Amino acid sequence: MTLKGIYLENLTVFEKMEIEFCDGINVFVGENGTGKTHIMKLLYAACQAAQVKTTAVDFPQKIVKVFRPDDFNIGRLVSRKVGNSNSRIHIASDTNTLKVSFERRTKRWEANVTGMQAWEKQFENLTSTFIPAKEMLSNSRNLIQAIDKGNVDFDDTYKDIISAASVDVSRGPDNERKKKYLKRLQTITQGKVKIEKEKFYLLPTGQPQSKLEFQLVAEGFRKIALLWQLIKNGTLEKGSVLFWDEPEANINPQNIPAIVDLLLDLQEDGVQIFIATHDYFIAKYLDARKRESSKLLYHALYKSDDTIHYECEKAFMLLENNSISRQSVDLYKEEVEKVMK
Amino acid sequence: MSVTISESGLCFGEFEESNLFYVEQSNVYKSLGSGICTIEFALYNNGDILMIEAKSSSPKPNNQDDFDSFINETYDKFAHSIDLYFSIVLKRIEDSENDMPDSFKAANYSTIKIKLLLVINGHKIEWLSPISDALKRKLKRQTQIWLLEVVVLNHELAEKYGLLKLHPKP
Repeated sequence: MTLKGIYLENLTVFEKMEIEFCDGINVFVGENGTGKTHIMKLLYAACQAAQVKTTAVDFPQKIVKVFRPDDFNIGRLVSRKVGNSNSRIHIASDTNTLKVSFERRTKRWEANVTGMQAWEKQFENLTSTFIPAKEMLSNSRNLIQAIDKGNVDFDDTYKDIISAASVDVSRGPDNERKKKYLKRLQTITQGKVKIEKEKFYLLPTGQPQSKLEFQLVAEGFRKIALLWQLIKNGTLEKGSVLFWDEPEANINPQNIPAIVDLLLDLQEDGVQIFIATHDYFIAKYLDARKRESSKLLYHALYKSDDTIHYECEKAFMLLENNSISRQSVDLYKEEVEKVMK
Repeated sequence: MSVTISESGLCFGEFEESNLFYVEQSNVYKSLGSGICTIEFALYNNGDILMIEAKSSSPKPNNQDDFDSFINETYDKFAHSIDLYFSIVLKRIEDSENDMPDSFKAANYSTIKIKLLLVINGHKIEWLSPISDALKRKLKRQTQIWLLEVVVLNHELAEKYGLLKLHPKP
């Protein structure tokens, strides 16, 4: 039960876009404004919409909650190019397709949806997690209420990650798989996560009486501590889907290999993963450390003739339109030019 | 008179003979005997001195032993060549056959730029950065003392900067 593909028509920066995913790790690369995060948010909204019976939030409504257009009008997501007034979004699994269409004048989230019933049935037990680029657990207290009341302008990805991290840790001993992950993450953060009165704390290793409020912990460590919590409380399990926007933000390059190993392990254990990255280390380390059994696909989005285009490859350096490696080559050429002039 | 030098599958040139010090073929170098290695040649180019070593390949950085060995070997060539070069300029060693042209001997060494160039034939540009970084670290002492610059090129960049006559396909 995985996400197999997406089709977009006249949506935000996309005129027409069709992408097929692999069951494992899907890495989006591309310059700013090429729609990487938009795609991930749409996929996430589709996953979350499958739980409409419990959340009462269907696909179009979740779309506006994660995009937050003015007045929550889904019509504002229609591409602004002249002549376009209709948008289409298709999200495909192995057996079903969830479709939504709307116009520029569509109010709120009153879009046309088909395939919802079958989608719900297939994914009603799916756990999906979206980790936004900005770490939020340090701002968690009362934030969910503030978002719900409309007092602050954060999209649902921020609210949802706090909720996901706040789920009580699973009772009983951790299985070997979990122990492996937690041990790896603890070596970086040097501690475990604890939640007390809606606030997150880090309990430093070897200092059982001590607790550090997250605001005092380095942002990079908070992000890794978040992973620890999501694994500990069972959110990142086989069959779940993880969306991670810019995993490299605030992380020192020396910790990237550990994060990459974790992602490869999670994928092997049955988690489908989507990442958007600008980072050379993340992109290259995934390539360098992938195993025989790893499933990995790079999706490059690039702008040409005022349109977003797409290519995919199984290896990072095979991408023709690779803004990350192109920049590193350009940098090297500048260094050479400085010496040779 | 113009000359070309063929090394590692590359054809360097054409250079004026008076601006070329073909170190590897020089009598002064050969007279030193074994245990001393050298770069291919030095070039007096647009007011700079380029000390050039050419390679047909290099190991990938993820093969650490081969990579370190490559860097060490290249370092030795540059380091020994710097010593030899200045020994000739300062007349510590007699250049009886006049292998080093007068343009090099007469240069103003208080201001002239001296650049150490490693040219690797057939390498993609994106592979050069780790080699460049490692070589610069290794040559740190020399570059700081003699105020030298280090750059690693592939065949495309060497051609761009006018070092190659023509570029045979690697």
